[in-house]
Parts: sequence; C-alpha cells; structure tokens
Amino acid sequence: MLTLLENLAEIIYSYSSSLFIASLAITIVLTLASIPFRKLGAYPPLVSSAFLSIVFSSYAILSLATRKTIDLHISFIPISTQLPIKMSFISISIDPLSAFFIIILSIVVFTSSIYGFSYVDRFIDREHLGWYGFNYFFFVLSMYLTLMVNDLFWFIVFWELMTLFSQFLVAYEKEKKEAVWAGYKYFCITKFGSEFMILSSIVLITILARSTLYRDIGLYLSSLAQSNTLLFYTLITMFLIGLLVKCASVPFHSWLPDAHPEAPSNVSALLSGSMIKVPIYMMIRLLYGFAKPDFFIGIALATIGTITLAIGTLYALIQIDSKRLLAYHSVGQIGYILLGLGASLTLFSIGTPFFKILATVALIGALYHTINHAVFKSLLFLTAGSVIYATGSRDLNTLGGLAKYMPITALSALIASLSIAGVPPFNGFVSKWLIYLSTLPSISILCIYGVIAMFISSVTTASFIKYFTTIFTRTSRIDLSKTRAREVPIPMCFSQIILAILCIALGLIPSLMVFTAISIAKSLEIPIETESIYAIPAFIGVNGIGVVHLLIVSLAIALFMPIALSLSRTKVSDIWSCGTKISLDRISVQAREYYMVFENVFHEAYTLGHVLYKYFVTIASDKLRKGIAKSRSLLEDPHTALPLVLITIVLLILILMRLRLWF
Amino acid sequence: MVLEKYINIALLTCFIGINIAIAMVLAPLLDGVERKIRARLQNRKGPPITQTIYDLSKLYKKKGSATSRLHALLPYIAFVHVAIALAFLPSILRTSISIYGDLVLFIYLVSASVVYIAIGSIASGNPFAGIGASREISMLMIIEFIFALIASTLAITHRTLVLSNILPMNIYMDKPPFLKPSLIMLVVILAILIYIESLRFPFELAEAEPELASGILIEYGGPHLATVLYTLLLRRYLLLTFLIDLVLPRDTVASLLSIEIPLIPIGIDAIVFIVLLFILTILFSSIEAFFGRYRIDIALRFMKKILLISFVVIILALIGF
Repeated sequence: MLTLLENLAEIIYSYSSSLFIASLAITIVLTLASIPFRKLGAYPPLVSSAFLSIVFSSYAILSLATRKTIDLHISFIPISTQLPIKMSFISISIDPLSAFFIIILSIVVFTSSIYGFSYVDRFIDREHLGWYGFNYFFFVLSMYLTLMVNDLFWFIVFWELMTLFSQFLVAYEKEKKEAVWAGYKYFCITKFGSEFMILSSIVLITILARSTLYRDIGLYLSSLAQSNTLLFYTLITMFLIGLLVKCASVPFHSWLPDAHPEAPSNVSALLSGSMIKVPIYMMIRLLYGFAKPDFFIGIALATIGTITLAIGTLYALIQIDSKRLLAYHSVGQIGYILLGLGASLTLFSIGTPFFKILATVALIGALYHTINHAVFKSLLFLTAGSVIYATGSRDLNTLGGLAKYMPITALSALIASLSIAGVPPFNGFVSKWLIYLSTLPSISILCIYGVIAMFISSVTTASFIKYFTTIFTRTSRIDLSKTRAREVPIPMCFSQIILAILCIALGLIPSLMVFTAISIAKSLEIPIETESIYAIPAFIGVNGIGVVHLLIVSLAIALFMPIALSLSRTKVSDIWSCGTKISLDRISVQAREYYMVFENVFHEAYTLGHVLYKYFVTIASDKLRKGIAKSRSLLEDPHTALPLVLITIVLLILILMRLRLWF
Repeated sequence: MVLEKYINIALLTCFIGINIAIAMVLAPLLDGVERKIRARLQNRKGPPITQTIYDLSKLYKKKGSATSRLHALLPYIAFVHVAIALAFLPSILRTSISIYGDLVLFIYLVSASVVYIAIGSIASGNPFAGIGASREISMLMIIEFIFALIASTLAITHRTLVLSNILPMNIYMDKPPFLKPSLIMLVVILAILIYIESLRFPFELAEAEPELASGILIEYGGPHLATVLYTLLLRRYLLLTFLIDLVLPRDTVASLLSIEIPLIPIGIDAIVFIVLLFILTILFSSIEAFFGRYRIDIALRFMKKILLISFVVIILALIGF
C-alpha cells in the first residue's frame, strides 16, 4: 500500500509542475472567455473552481500522506539578477500546514461551486453573471495561491487580490444599498486599514531580513527575538493586528456581520468557511514557524479569543436575520480557534511536561476546530441560501414550517446546527472538547477562559435551536402553500448532503484529524511532548469519544428501526390550540422572544455595545445636524475610522524607527 | 492474553448493563416515593410507590401520537444520551466506563438530552411547547456555565478530567484547615444545581402544567410521551448518582466492615448507595412540597446569584483552598 502510494507520488511529483500550470492555464482561459456572456457566464468559472479544488486537494493529500513538501518553481519573467528580491518566479511549496488548509478550502470550494450552479438562477434576470463568475474564480484562485506560496512578497500580493475579489462579490447585488455599503465598509476596515498594517510589517521584515522566503524570515525572526526584543514584538504585533482584523476578532469584527450576509450565499459560505481561515493559517506559520512559542503573545491571543467568542456569540443570540446570525457565529467560532492557539502558545512556552501535553491538546483542538468550522459553517450558509432560494426571506420572525416542504435542507440544517452547538455525536463537540481539556486543568487564567468557552457553547446551542426551529418547524407567518416553497434543485441538495456527511464523519473518526494535526506540528518543529502519539492522553480520549459517538449513533439507529416502522401507526394529530380555532401563526413564539428574559437578566453582556452605539449615534447625529460633517461615511459608521487609527500607528512606528528614537 | 481482554470487556459490559438496568427500575420507583412524600406532606394519601411504573407501562401500550416525524423521534435520541451517560458513573456496582476527559463528556451528554427534548417539543409546532422549551434552554445556558465552573474546579484540584480518578473527590488537605472550603461549597452548589436541572418546583418552568398546559410535553402521546417522561426521570437519577459518587467514599465504607466474605463489601456499597439515593429524594421532594412555581425571570436571577457564588469557588480552588 505504502509503496503504491510512493510510486504514485513519484509520478505526480515528476509531472506536478506541468499539471499545475496546465490546470491553471485552462481554467483561467475558460474564465476569461466567459466574461462577455451575461446569462451563461457563471457556469464555466464554477466548473473551473470545482476542478481546481480537486486538483489542488490531490496535491495536498499527497503532501500530507507522504509527509513531504511539494516544491514547484513557476517563473514568468526571465530571471534577472537586477531585482533585489527573488520576485521573478512564484515558488509554490505545499508543506503539511498549507496542505491542511488547502484541504479545508477545497471542501468548501467544491461544495459551494456545485451549489452555485443552481443558486445563480436567483440573479439571472437582474445581474451580469459573467462578472460573478470572473470574481468568484479569481477569489478562489487567489485564496489557493495565498496558501501555497512560500514567499512573503507573493503572500501579500495574493492576499490583496483575495480581499479585492471578495469585496466585489460582497457588493455584487449592486441595486441593494446595504450590499454596496457593506462592501465599502469591508474595504475600509480590511483593505485600507489592516492590510496597510500587514504590508508595512512585511516590508520592514523583508528589508531587515534581506529575503522574502519563509525559511530565511524564520531564521531572522528567531535571532531577532534574542537580540532586539522590542523590535521583534513590534513587528509581530503589527502583523498580528492585521491578521486579527481579517479574521474578525472582537475589537475589529464589525465588518464581518455586515459583509458576509450580503454576498450571494455560496460566496458567504466561502467567506465564512474558508477566507477567515487564511489569517489563521498565517498566524500559525508566524507564531510557530517563524517565531518560537511566546508566553505574552499566547496570553494576549487567548484573551482576545475569549472576548471574541463571548461577544460574537452573545450578539448572535439576539439576531433575527438568518444570515446575520450565522455571520456573528463565525466571529464566535473564530474565537474558539484563537483561544486554542493562544492556550497552546502559552502552555508550550511554560514548558513543563504536564503543560506540554495540554499544549499539544490545545493545538490539535484549534486545528480540528478550524476544519470543523469550515464544514458546518459553510453548510449552514448553504442551507440559509436554500431557504432564501425557496422563499426569498431571511427574516426569522416570519419564516417557519419549511421542514415539510424542504426535508433534505431541514435535515442538513439540523445536523449543522447540532454540530456547531457541540452536541456529542457530531464533529463540533470533539474539537471544543479538546479545547476544554487543554484549558480547564491548567492552573491559570486559562481555566476561566475554558469555563467561559463552555458557557458560550451552550449559548451557541440556544442560538441554533432558535435558528433551526424558527425556520423549519414553527408554524409559519407566511402562507407556504401559496409561495414556491419546495425542495431546492439537485446540485444544491448534493452539496448540502456532502457537507452533512462530513459533519458526521469527522465526529465519528476523530483520530484521523489528530494524526493530521500531529504531522503538521512535527513539520513545523513544534516541541510536542511525545515520542509516540499514544502517550498523549487526549489521543486515547479522542478514540474513546469516537467509540462513544459510534455507540450513540448505533443505539439511536437500533431504536429508530422499530419506531420508524411504528411511525406509520403513529397518529399524526393536529396541533392543539386550546380547543378554539385561532390560527397558530398569530400566537407562535417569535425569534426575538425566544431568549428575551435571558437577555434581560444578563443585560450586562450587552451594555458595552449599547453604550458605544448610543455614544457614536449621538455624535454622528449632532455633527450631521450642525452641518460640520463632510465625510458621511465616517459618521454613519464609526468603525470605518479604524483604518485611520491603524495607519497613524504605523506612521508613528516608522517615524520612531527612522529617527532611531526607540529602536 | 487476548482471551482475557475479551473476558474483561464482556464482564465490563455486563456490569454496566446491570447498573443501567437497575437504574431503569429505580428511576420510576424514586418518582413513586416522591409522589407519596409530597402527598403525605399535603395531607393526602397518595398513590402507591409503583404508580409511576404502571403509568409508563400503560403509556407504552398505547398508540403513539405526534405532529411530525422529527417530533416523534428526538425523545428517543435524548433517551440514548442519558443511558450512555449512566455508563460513565459507578452506581450500584462500582464499574464504569472511563476515558480521558469524560467529565466534560458527561456534562455534554446530560445537556444534549435537554437539547434534543427541547428541539423535539418545539418541532411539534405548538406555541406552548415553544415557550416551555425556550425557558428550559434559557435555564440550560446558566446551568452549563455553573457545571463548567464545577468541572474546572474539580480539574484544578485533582489535576485530571477523568471521572474515575476524581470520584470520590478528595476534600482533605495536608495542613489546616483540613477540609477544602472550595470543594465543600462545590458540593452545596452542585446539590442546588441538580435540584434545578431535575425540573422540580420552583424551577419546574418547562412543563408548568397549569400555566403552559404541560409545555414541552403538550403534543406527545403514547410511547413518545412515555419516553420523554422516562428520560426526565432517568436524568434525575443520573444527577443524584453524580452527587452521591462525588461524596461517597466507597473504599472507606467497605473497609469499615472488614469481613472476609468477598461479596459483602459490594452489597454494603450498593445498600449505602440506595439509602443515600432515597434520602436525597425524600429531602428534595419535601423541599419541593413547600414551593410554588417561580416566574422565569426570578428563576434566572436566582441562578445568576448561584453563578456568581460559584466564581468564588473556582477562585478559592485556584489559590489552593
């Protein structure tokens, strides 16, 4: 088996460059050729994206299975020695870390591209589909290349392109005012602000290190950590802030709940499922690959993670728009990943054997949660898209009763909801469980963070009970028999079913992911504790969890069989309405009423947001009234002022460095 | 060697099976005791102790009634979760499954059963069920917060998350004060929490018979109703078992009567366990008899206070008390 794999690997290695270039060339030409077609222009790029996902994921699986790095050099300018940095070729390198993220991306790209075949019907009369396809394909391609390059110069180039194309997709429905506004806000906060920060940090690093290759930068930064600590922390912090804005951690999260819901649903799945994982990828590379695990950065990251997961999820609880609720949960789930990463950094830097074991568990948990979040969040966005496709509505207060008309969508939404809620037989539970295991017994502030994470997990559960039941089971306020509500077309169902199966499979076979995470950790030379992975207690625990999950599923099926048979005997009764003939939709529980009491009792959690909102709205309206305000955008949404702050900080640092006052 | 392993697994399965089977019988019996006690406290004669078993068996013979497929199926999944959670605790026999981190898993299995019943009841489409379930989930959020604090306190003091290494917990310290104050507070908080989670007055908000017309149970009928009721009863039994396991030092109890006959300690063990179970049930049901139902916001405010107290517990544990 292994020799067969190695032979296969040899063959693919020998043809890898040409295969890579050929597939890129074909898909790019196909996409460019389809731009002029207004109605059919979306299909070739969608096919190309699905094709690319298959090709690239096969590279990634190969790299993970053989634990080798695949290196390709693609030169497109004749090599000239004049260029100061080696920019004349893109050097592609797929090591286990990038392979892992490429697999995540491929899962999301494949399913949302297939989903797109039918979903674009929504826009066929209103918008130009050629541009949709063009933006979609290049968005996907730049995400792939961001993950594949091993050169900071090309990283920032593709990173910028990724943001650019995703922004066009957010503002795709241009007659919708909110969509255009969300795209603008997204531009202001991420492109103008955070990428400036990353860019400046990268330029400084490359100038100081005299190279752009990841390998050289790793060597330089680890020597800098010894010689000039202040400069080291400044560079890392600048880079990290840029990445944290892009993955929407809490002080910088306000763009995400606006931008992600406005995009077409399969693009929302891509944005939430995979784009906000790219900064996580760079964070792991930066904090583990380039630098050694650092205590302060770890604690800071864990703190930001905990605040992010708490605020993101508590605000998700009060949303009444389906896609906005999901977007807030993306913020919350990113918090879990950051908490896992931060905890592992902190515990590694302490370095006693017990803490090293906990740190390994935390790192595995963070990586596991990354893939889980990609799977269930893209599934949730796809099901929300199916509901929009069938009813045209995103309002949880008016939707309802769709389970009867859309059984497959309802079932996959239920599976995804239970997964994100962390209910035992599904995948979300295992990764959250690993994060709790690493934080709860650590005798430090981290165990309070773990407790908060556990509480927030139940808030997530509550929020998704609301999400699922208001859309699919409660009596609807719309008369469904008059609308076109019915099961979505086959491509959309197909994508949903694949992702739902993945949700269950990742929960039933958790040890697979643990192996993957450990091979990633080894490739980054992270000092994980053990010679053999069997010494990690969590691994045994993970196997146990797999067994318990299998037990739950098999017992449930064993109970199901007789019940499913007897269901035909079950009397399907009408809903009891106190013996009167009131129509139930008038008295059914509304989405905003579900946890109103809880929100009132825990109003402290929302105080800060309310105060800030009131404060900014007062300022904005005052200035508008007095006619002082010329810059409308800044005042309508104070968050758009964030880039100015970030740019000022960068300029200050640069001036201080130039004058040699500080460093 | 291999044979020995299989025999061990078979024995383990057998013992756990006995534990679960006895739990299935004891859970409705305890409810019968509760009904009797409540009736006596209210100057009624009350039904026989076996009445709950009769009720359940009668319901299982009836034809089921539900409003949709999801509505009918989810209680059974909740039941499976509670039954599996039972396997993680030593009860009548000392045997239990044990994997790394099962303390967290145990908490999640218990709350998963709440979640499935809540979704199932909302899936009926009845507004009363919706209100009942939303109340139950609101309470679950705070309960899980306190449970997390308890789990973390246990993990800090025992340096592990494996239930079989924690149970019974070690509340002694080397130097004075000899008892750990954090763990004593923890037991009190856990007892209150179990009282709340087992849906007793004044926290019986999800069913709320006079107010919501049985809330989460409203649309169920026949075997489906019986399964929901059975799940609730088993959950009560499970939580009581967890409390008893935390405080009952089985080894000490067994060594107090150091008789050479091998089966006696096991018997003593089981008898002490059952006696404690009945004492707790009688205690809880007599408290229950003196309360009416809280309004949901008052209940949540009360739980919030307990939450703040449990933060004191974890801070005490962190500084070493």
